[in-house]
Amino acid sequence: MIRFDHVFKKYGGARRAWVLDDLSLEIPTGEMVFLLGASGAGKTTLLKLVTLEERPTKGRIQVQEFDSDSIPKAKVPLLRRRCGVVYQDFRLIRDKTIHENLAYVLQMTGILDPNTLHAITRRVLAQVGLIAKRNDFPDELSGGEQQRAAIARALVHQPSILLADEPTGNLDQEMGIDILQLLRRVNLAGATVMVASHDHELALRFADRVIVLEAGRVRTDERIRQKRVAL
Amino acid sequence: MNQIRFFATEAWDYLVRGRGTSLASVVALCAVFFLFGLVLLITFNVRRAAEGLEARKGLTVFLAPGVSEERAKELVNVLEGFGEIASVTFVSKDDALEDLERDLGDFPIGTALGDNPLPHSLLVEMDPAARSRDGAATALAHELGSYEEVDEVVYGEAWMESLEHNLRVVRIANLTVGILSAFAVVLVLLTTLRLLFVGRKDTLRILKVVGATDQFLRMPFLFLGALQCLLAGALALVSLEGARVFFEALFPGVVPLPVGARLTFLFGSAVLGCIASFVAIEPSLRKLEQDNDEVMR
Repeated sequence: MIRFDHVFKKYGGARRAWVLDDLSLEIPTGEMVFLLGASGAGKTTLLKLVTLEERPTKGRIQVQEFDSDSIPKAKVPLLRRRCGVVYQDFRLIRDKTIHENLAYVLQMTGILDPNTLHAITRRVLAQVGLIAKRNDFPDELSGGEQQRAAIARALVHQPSILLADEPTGNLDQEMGIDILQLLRRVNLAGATVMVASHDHELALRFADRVIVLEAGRVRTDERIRQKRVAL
Repeated sequence: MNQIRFFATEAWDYLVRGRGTSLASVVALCAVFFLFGLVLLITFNVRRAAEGLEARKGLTVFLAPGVSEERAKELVNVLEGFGEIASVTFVSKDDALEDLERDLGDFPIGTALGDNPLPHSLLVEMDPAARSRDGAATALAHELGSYEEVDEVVYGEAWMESLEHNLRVVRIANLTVGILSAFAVVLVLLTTLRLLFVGRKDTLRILKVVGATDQFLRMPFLFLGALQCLLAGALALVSLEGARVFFEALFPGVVPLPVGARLTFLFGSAVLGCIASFVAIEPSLRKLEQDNDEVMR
């Protein structure tokens, strides 16, 4: 469960506008939610608040048993490990191969045996169609491939929450659908999935629920009935 | 074990990727360790020489002219009964002349003078326990000097005390150089590891946001600091042996540091590297999340 309770967020000085303005919402475990809205609506900030990459200026955020008001600094990495995040700008480590990028996430959770690491990363890279590129460096991949590598990194440790910021932004429509089907499968396996997007069509096709943000507030929050799309 | 191997591999990776900085760091650290090692080597050899002198510390009792050999030997028996005396050796005037002629390169001084002018003498070795007491040699010398058969008592107490004092100064110098070296190591690692940290900042930020603990980010740097100091320490020991060979040509008898001391030197270098890396990296690590907020915005 993810709960935002009267959350305000502002960057910089007091004169700056609220990026999130008294935002309250609750996302139950296992839901697939699309966050829609124009640029600057607060979608990316909302995702960053879930992992406490950003802290709320006011208000309270609860993610599973973690509470933004009381979480000790040392436990923030534990919260982040419950989440898999696909960043809009990928944030892949440039001087590491794709396998090494994925392996890092497992190594920080204590999985250090090379054979185990290879087995897991191969399985996940096969899921996103990048098995042949596992020894390539990010700069040797196309934008779409980097996007898929970023998704593979977000999935590699089997997170219970998956956050994706414009995961289809760099992909053609066919590949975009493939990726969302993959995220849907992750969701059906039990993970809560939040996708920030501005693609209404894909949202309506894949989401359980669509939340539209405008100027940091929830404009509409709608449950989609046709919950199970053909996979 | 797997964790140690992982962090060591990461540290090696950091070392190789930042090879220019790492090389500069190892050279600078080597210079610091060499200077410290040099002070240790000098101290060790001075101490060793001083201990040799200490072992020979004793009193020479010159007997008055005319004291017979028999009387001198009686005195030996008397003095051997003193608690603070370990041994007494009688040196006849003929033996003393022979020693003198040997010291003068076999110059026949006895023949030249026609008569042996040297007196009989007694070499008195003090008991080690008595010798360590302040002023014991002086007191004994006074007591021996009160015998009417004794002409003069010569002993090196004052000189030895001066040597002890100088050794204390050397020990303080050692400590001072050690502390300064530690500061220098921190300074070198502060510069080079921070450079490396800045170079890896993007990677560290990414790792942090995907769930890395501070410990996970910190450990490779600690291993790297230890590794650099270990390499520098080993190079310093090799250079030190070169310096020792050079000194030995000038002052025969200069010996290397014992194996145990050299191993301690290496181990100490690695530990110092680890501690210095912690000091160097910790503030940057704490700032990472704040910077992250600013950059990612």
